[in-house]
Parts: sequence; C-alpha cells; structure tokens
Amino acid sequence: MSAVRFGVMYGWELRRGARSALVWSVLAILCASFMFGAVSGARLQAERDQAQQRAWAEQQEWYADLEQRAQAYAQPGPQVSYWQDPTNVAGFSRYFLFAQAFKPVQPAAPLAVGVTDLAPDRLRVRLETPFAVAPTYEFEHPRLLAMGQFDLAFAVAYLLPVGLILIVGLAGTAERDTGVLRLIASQPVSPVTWLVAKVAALATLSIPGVLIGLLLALSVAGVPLGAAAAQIVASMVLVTGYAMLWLALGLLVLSFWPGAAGAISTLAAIWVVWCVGLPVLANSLDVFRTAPQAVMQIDALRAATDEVDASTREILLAEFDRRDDLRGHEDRIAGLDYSTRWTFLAPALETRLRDTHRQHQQLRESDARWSTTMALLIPALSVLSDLAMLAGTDMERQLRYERQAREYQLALRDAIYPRVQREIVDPTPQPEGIQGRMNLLDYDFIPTFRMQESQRPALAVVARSAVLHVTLALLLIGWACLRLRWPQAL
Amino acid sequence: MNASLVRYELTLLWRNRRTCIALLALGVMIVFSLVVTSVQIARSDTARAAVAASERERWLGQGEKDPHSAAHYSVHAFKPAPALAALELGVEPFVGQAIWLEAHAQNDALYRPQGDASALQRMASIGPAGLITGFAPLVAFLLAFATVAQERERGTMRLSLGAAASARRIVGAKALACWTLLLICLVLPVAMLALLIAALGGKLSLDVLLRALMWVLVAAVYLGVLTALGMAVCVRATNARMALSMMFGAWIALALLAPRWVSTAADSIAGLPSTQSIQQTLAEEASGYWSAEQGQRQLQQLLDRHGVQSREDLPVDARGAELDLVERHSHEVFDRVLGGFHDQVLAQDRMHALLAWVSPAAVLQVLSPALAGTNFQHHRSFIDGAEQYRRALVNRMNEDVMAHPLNGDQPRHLNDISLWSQIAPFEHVAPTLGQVSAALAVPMLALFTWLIAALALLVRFSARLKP
Repeated sequence: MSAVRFGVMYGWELRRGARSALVWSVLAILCASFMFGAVSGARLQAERDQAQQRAWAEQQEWYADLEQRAQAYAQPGPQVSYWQDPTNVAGFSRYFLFAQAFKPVQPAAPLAVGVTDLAPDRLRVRLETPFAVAPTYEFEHPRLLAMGQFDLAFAVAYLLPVGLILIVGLAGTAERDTGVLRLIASQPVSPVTWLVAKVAALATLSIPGVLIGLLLALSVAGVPLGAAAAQIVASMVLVTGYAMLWLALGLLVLSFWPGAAGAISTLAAIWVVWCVGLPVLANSLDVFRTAPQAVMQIDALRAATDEVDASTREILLAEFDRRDDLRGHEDRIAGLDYSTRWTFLAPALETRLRDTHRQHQQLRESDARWSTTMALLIPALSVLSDLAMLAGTDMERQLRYERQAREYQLALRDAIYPRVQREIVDPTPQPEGIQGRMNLLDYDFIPTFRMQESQRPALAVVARSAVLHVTLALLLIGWACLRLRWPQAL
Repeated sequence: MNASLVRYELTLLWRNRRTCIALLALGVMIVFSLVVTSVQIARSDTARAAVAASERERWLGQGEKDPHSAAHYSVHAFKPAPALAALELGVEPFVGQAIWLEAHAQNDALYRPQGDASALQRMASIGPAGLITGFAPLVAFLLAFATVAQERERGTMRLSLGAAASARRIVGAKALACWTLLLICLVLPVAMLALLIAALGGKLSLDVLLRALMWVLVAAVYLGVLTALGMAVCVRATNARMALSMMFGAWIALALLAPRWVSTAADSIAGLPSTQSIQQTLAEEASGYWSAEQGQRQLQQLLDRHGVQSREDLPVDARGAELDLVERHSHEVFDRVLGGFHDQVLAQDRMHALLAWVSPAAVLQVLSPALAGTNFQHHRSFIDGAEQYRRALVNRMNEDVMAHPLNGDQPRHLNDISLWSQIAPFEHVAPTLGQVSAALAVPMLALFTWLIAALALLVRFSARLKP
C-alpha cells in the first residue's frame, strides 16, 4: 500500500471540517462576540469624541462671552474687582483662562478600550496646577472598570482561544473517542500527516473565519476602513499569529492522544494559567515593592503648599532679586494681587513637588515597562496591549499626551506670565472712569494644543508579538511532530 | 441518601488525582490572592490613616486666619477600606479614596488605587471572589464530569446503579460530595482567613461577621447551582464528549460572556450622563466664582432679606452672608445634579441586577460586592457622609464670618484654633447590612431561583439515569 499524501488528507479533512456544525457554531459565536465588543467599544469612543467636541465648542463660547464682557467693561462705571475682570491680565491668568488639551480619538479606536475608560483624554490646563495634570477623570461606572469592558480586545484575547480550544478539543479527538483511531492507525498514513492535516484544515477554516469576523465587527462599529487600513491589517496579522499559537498548542496537546475530556481540560488549564494565573502572579510581585501610595501625593501637595504660603515673601524677594527686570521693585511685592503672586509661586510649588512627581511618574513608567515585559510571557496581555496601541488607547500614548499637556502648560505660562509680571514694573495706564483694567484686550495670543502623534508604523507595533507567537507556534508544531507516534493502546 | 454514601463518594473524588489537583490549585490561588490583596489594602489603609492624621494636624495648626479662608483650606476626607475588601475587591480599586472638602465645591473622590493601572494590573485585578465566580464553574463541572460521565464511560456506574435503591440517591450523594468538596476547598478557608485578617486589622464587628456569613451562604448557593447544573448535564448527556462540550459551553456562556455582557448592556440601557455635562451644569448653576453683575444681584437679595438699604446697614457681615448665600444655594444644586447623577448610577446597578438573572455568575457579581461592602452603594455612603461633613464645616466657618459684621474698610475678622477645634475629625460610618438589605432582595431571589431550577433539572434527569 502506498502512503497517503498530506495534500489528500488535508483536502479530506478540510471538506469534513467545512461540514462541521461545531466549527461554524463556534465561529459564529466568536463573530457575534467581536461585533458586540467592537460596537460597545465604539460607543465609548464616540462618547469621548463628542465630549471633546463639546468641550472645544464650550471654549469658543467662553471666549466669545469674555469678549462681550470686555466690551462692557470698557464702558464708564465703578471699577470691577480684578478677579471678575477678564481685561485684567492678572485676573485673566487665574480666573478666565480656558485652555484645554485633547487626546484625539483615533480611527481604529474600537479595536480596544485600553485606558480610555480610566485615564483622562480632555484636560483643562490651568497655569497653577502642578505639572499640568490634576488627578481628575471622566466618570465611568466603577463596576464596569472592575469587571472590565466587553470590548473587541477582550473578545480576541480571551474568547478567541476558548473558541479554538473547543474546536480543536472536540473536532481533533472525535476519532479517539469513537474508536475510529485504531482503524486509521492501521492505514498507510503517518500520525504526523494525519494529525497535522487535521489541525491544518481546522486552522484553514477558523483563521480566515476569525479574520472575516474581525473585519465585519470593525465595519459594523463604524471604523473607517480606509483611514484605519494600516491598523486593521496590523490587527489581522496579530490575530493570525495569536490564533496560530493556540492551534499549535492544540496540536501539541492532541499529539498525546487524549480524549475530548483530556484535551479540553488540559487546554483550558493552560488558558487559565496563561490568562489569569500568570497575570495574578506577576502582579502580586508588587507586594515586594515599597511604592508610594497614591494618597501620599495629597500629603506632599498640602505640605508643599503650606511651605510656599509660609514663605511667599521670601520666594518673591528671591525671584525679584534674581531677575534684572524686577530688581529694585521689591517695594511693590506687598501690593501684588493673589494671581500675580501665583505667577511666581506656581513654579516654586513645583520645585518642592518635583521629587514626589518624579516618583509618581517613574512608578507609572515602570509599571508600564513591567507590563510590556510580562507580555512576552503572557500572549493574551501582548494582544491586549498591541490592540490598544493600534487603537491609540494604550498607556504609552496616554503618558505621551500628559507630557505634551505639561509642555503646553509651560508654553501658556511663557505666553501669559511675562504679561502679568510686566504690569509690576510697567503698569498699563488705567483708563479714567472705566470699569475694566484694560491691560488685556485680545485673547488670540493664547496657544492652542495640538497632540503630536508617534510615527511608528502600525505593523511595527505588532511585529514583536506576531513574530513571537508565530515562532512559538512553529516550535510547538515541531515538538508535536517530533513526538507524534500512533498510541500504544488504542 | 445516607452519610456513608456521601463519604464514599468523597473518598472516590479525593482519589481522582487530576480533579483534586485542579480543585486544590484553584483553592491555593484564591487564598494566595486574598493574602496579596490584604497586604496591599493594609498598606493603603496605613498610608490613608497617616495622611488623615497629618490633615487633622494641619487643620488645627493653620494659625490665625479668616474663617472662610480656612473653609477653602479645609481638609481631605479619607475612605478606609471595607473590612471584607480583600475577599471581594468590588469597585474599590476604581473609586477615589479621598475627597477635598473645600468651600463652594463638592469635589470628586480622587486618587483611585488603580487609576494609573497598566494593562497587566488591570488584567490581574481579580480578587478571591472574582476567581470563585469565574473559575469555580470549571472545577465544579470537572468534578461532575469525573463523578458521573467518566464513571458511566468506564462502566462503574452500571455497578453502582445495580447495587443502589434508586438512581436519585446515587446522584444525590455524588452531588452532595462534589458540593462539599468545593465548599471546603474554595470558600470556607478564604472566608475564615478574611475574618481573621479583619480581626487583626481591628475591623471585626457583628455587622462584618454577619456579612461574612451571608457571603459564605451566597457562595455556597452558587456552588450548589454549579454542582447541580454540572451533574444534570452529565446525567442527561448521552456520552462523555457531549457532557463535556455542554459544560465547557456553559462555562463560557455563564461565567465568561454573561457577566461582562450584562454589565456592558446595563450601561447601554441605563446610560449615564457624561462627566462633562455634569460639570457644565455645576459651573452654570453653582460656580464658586461670580461676576460683578451676579455679585450685585446677590447683595440686593441680602439687603431685601434683611430689609435694609445699604451694605453698611446689614446686621451681619455682608461678605460672610454672601458666601453663606452662595454656599447654601450650591447645596441645593449639588443635591439635585450630583445627587441625581449618583441616583442614576444606582439605577444602573439595579438594571444590572435585573439583567444578571441570565447567569448565576452575574448574580454573584452583584451579591458579593454588596455583601462585602464594596459596591457603589457603599461608596456613595462615603461620598454623602463626606459632603455632609463638608457642609457643616463650611457653614460653621461662614457663620463665624457673618457673626462679626465688618462692612466697612476694616481688616477681615480672623479666628484661630478655638474655632477650628470645634470641627470634629471626619469618620466614615459605613452602612450596615440591614441598611442595604433592600438592594439584595432581587439578586438573592435570582440566585435561589437558579438553585431551585438547577436542582429540579437534576432531580428530573436523575430519575432517567441510564448506566
């Protein structure tokens, strides 16, 4: 008898798989999950996008209103308090400046919610907020945050492997459980040819099925396929590698010739360890770290503010002495309003908080690095992280956004503080009998925030994970092929 | 069904190496998770207590000051971790732990423990209760499979049925054995350890004890549902493959898909207004800053109230009275806008509890945080308590300003520690189980309905058990 060729076996298994209700049912459920995830993710992203647009419109209305008030205060009448006067540059700097930094929603955002539900994407940048970012956030129901969003990334990272486990575990063990395997083993076919052809056929059906599901889900969620083409292609590469990894793992488990019970329970155990056990273990190492608690920032801020309050005069004297333009005007310090004093105190407060801020930032960055490192060991984590990067909802982009918001705050200070401080030595003459101070007459000089995006190509984002998963898959396939023999007892 | 039969089934299960390893591995993981979470919570509590003590010291030691400036300086209110938070994290990692109680504003609770969480931290944010909810079904089904489907496959079931008085007795004993093993390995150790940790942290009280007992009861019922479902499927299925695929599918649907789907669907159906719209309403209706024109209107209101013509004629301090007027107006706005918003959050929770009927795991995710005191309802009690404290503090400061009329050009009235010390330190009083019991009724009913349905299925299918 001549040996059966791989192609023949593969073709036969492919036709058999294509008739399997199990395969199509699992794929249909996966596609439905992808769609639900993509649509719910898109809903959240759309809400954020609308919130940004509304906030921008609110800012425009605010300045239109200020201009009206400035015109009204240009009329004769009793003088308005400085903190109620938008034509007073000092009052403006603290009470009327409306500057915002937005993190724009990316076209492929429905791929993953990422940090969208946790971190701010719309910051009101005030001149006196230490390091620009206050610990504010958009309210998302904490129950949703605790349980996790049912987004597309969840469906891909957690549910896709479970679906593949079901397909491989049941379809790959049918012959073993029904006793047909002893008949097959007696034919001129090697176990490698037979089992690899079987799993390859299942892969041929399931991987394109999953990719079509992904595309459909993104289309239904309203992702502009043209604008997000690079991210979509990259996500498909990522999902292919991830699916291959789980199918290869399935092949390896099948190479031990278990029944359905053995195969599914072994693969489910691997899933639990990889998707839950390892992350919990990796995160539990946190107990060995003496990181400062978040609430300690309150203590540092309050202590620093008290210190600045107590030494306001000394800080101002030192600053006047340091600056050529202010030296010799120390007698005016006592008459400075609260806002003008804060143009000197805000940087002084930051100096006192620098270490706390640095510690906090380093903690966030080291947490993000640890997460990236563990993604090498936890495939689901790498998929979640990479999809978030493609969606523009990852922590790295968030940190970049916050850094740029800080740069924006410094640019605002550079634009406004000199105007406020110039009034100390060279005050604009007060128009006689006019309500407003009239030393700030237009607001066009205020810079606008534009986020600079990373230019990293989408495929480069997923390259590490995809290569890692495919390599691991090939190694597992190789291992399975090396150890495959017909079982002794059938 | 007699005890010896149950003991015999327990012995058989215990000898099944694969299932016992899975069961013990999950049990160890749950206890490990409790210990790690407890350490993290203890650290947070220590930090919070230290900062709260510093805040009190700062409040008392702020020196001579205008009382309204003191109301702006104010203090932070800190939320201590609930006694059973290590057992069920609930919403705790994602809600603010401190509120700045300043004048004019009902600030958000900030400094969320997981506010800056990395992808790994969010992935691993699963406490002991989360592990039981998500993975006890897998182990329960594995036990059911080992004790019924595999026995039938091996032919040992035929022998048992031949010797037994009734099939129901055998299935009943098997179910009871599985449930006992699950309870002993997954629930009792972690509950006892959680109580021990609460006692060591000085948080043990009758209410905590009652909550822990209720939590054990609920977890036990959940395990009962899972055991009965698993057994029913194994008894009904024509072969082991069928039983396995049905149970694996049930795990995916009930424990993986349903809880997140229910939570997300509740959010879609009973959506919440955006933070932005809330902030905008507050800024429009209760801003801490007011324009010169608004200031004129407020002054006129005060003059009318006191029946005088000018600021100088007011029997109280005009500035203090204006601050008090604005402050009390803001209370009404905060109650309506923020209180209304929090009511909507709780309404979404009620919608979540209704949708949770689709899965016992989703029901447990409603009940477990409610019993552990880690759901939003309990968090709201902290928000409300802190707000009442803030109002009392700010009102007292404004009253002191008002009581010292300086309506001319004199320097502002100052006060000192004699006034600051009249404000007692903030202490959060968590609601008792009795106070929140109304919210437990629907999910309790859902869980017991699941139990009755699962037991009914098991009883029905047991009668038709074939070897």
